[in-house]
Amino acid sequence: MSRENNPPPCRPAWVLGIDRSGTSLVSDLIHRWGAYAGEAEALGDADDFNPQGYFEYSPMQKLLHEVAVSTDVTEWDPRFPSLVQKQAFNPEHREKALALVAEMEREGRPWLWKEPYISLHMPFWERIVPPPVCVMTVRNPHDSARSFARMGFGPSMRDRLRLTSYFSLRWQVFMLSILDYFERNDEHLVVCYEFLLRDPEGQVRRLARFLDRCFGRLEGGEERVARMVEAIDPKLWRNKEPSSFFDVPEATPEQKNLLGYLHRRAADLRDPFEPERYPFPPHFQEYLENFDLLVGYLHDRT
Amino acid sequence: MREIRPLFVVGVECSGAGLITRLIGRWLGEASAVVQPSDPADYRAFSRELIAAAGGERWSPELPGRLAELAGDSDWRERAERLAAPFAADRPGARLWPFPESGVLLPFWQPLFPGAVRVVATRNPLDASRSFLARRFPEKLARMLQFPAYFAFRWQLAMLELLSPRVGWTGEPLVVGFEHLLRSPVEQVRRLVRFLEASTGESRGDDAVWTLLEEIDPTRWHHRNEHGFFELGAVTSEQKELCRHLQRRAADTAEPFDPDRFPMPAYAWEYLRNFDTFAEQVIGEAV
Repeated sequence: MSRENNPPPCRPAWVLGIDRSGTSLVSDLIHRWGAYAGEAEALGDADDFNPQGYFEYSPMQKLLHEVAVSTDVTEWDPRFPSLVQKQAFNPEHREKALALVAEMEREGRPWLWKEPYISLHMPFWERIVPPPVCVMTVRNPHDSARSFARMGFGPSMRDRLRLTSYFSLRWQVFMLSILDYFERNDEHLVVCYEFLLRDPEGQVRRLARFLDRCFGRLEGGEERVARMVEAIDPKLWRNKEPSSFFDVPEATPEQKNLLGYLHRRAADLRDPFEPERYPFPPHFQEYLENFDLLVGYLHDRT
Repeated sequence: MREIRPLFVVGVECSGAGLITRLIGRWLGEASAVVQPSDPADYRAFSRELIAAAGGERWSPELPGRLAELAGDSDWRERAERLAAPFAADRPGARLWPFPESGVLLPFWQPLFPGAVRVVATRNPLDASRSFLARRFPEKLARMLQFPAYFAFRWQLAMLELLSPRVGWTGEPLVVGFEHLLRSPVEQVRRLVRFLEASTGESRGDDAVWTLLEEIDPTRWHHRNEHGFFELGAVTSEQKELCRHLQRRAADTAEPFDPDRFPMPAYAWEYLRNFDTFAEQVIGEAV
């Protein structure tokens, strides 16, 4: 019998996407649909930036950090995917990863993980666990950048820094990494943050249908949808830039094309993914690494 | 101010402008011919005010146009003339001003000195970036930072500003390559002297060449990796082409400069601005 007809009860649903792109909101929706996200004390407290919570399981975040450090390169290094994959054969990491999964499975029902950086670690997890059901979030990176700046920097630095290009590069790394993984895992859905806020019920039904199908749930669909729709508060749609990402000079034509492609995927149009259509500009790795290095240096110094 | 013939030595940081300044200073032969602004601190303060008045962004595609507008403003012009007064003092003739900016402010100064003789110092930007990093940043950070792309944007912008045909400039600048100078000092010093003689109408005789050569010490060729720039993945093909163009110019090949061949990508400005914002926090002053 195929897995679709008889899916195991405790399969995972993972939310992939870059920070400030609706990953927490979508996690809340999946949680309301019925997935176990971990014990509340391990998920981080809600705050002004994420009023409905972060849904980030801290033991998993700790492991991701350890695995990333073991690669000896940054996430922006083109060698990162192959090096992080090798870490799946490091017995210490493997054992910890399997223990974390076992902990989540103990509930005996679908379970949920969300952490932006997991998007870059899929080559690691592919060697550890069977393919999870995945939901990818997409948001206009121009708006995400604004939200990221509000969250990450104080007013004086925020006024001086411009993050559109930085964040677009970072976003490009995340999106291409996720799309590359989706070529090997068909059980995925792309959810556009703007579509979700514009048409909550339609988009929630689409998400619920996808989850019901993947997890073989036949009953109680309408109640689940109603619970999920309640999570969407249009007031959460903040940090809207007045200009369109498609008009921003700092974003490359390839990044704009990539957003267009992701919008089509979020509208259920499945064009083939051709990564060579979205090359990075030459300076991308240096900019991302120097930015992180200088932020860390200043942070350590203070 | 227009009776004198100013000499500007310009170039991006760590590209040999200091060495060329010393060479020209020796050629001029008189200490009084090498002119500093009345007070370097005043000049720096003036530069900061100028950038603030031009919108506050040192790295902005709009800066050159705004600076050119300010050059036409009588108040700014008067202040600039006061600052550059040592140029006009004492006697006519060639005067060297070791230009303290890497070309960013040239659109402001150019209308004041339309007849300036320009010598553009160039060096492989990868080597210059390593020198710059070692000179300007704390050792620990200099070991961790890799910034050929940042420096290449900075270098590209300066070269576009210094070499683009600009209304008002008279004559072509001389491009002097740091590597050429250290590899073929006699040939390059002769070339420089020929240019100075032709530009100023002043001659110092053949002995001047040998006096100038005393300034050149090949052991000071640090951070040498001349060909690495062309193999870098972090810089654009236009920047590599610009570097080749400058090498040809430094080898005395006459080739017109067409800025459209070397466009700055739109994303470059943000990187320059953000890097400088962080670096200023780290080293306590503008880089």
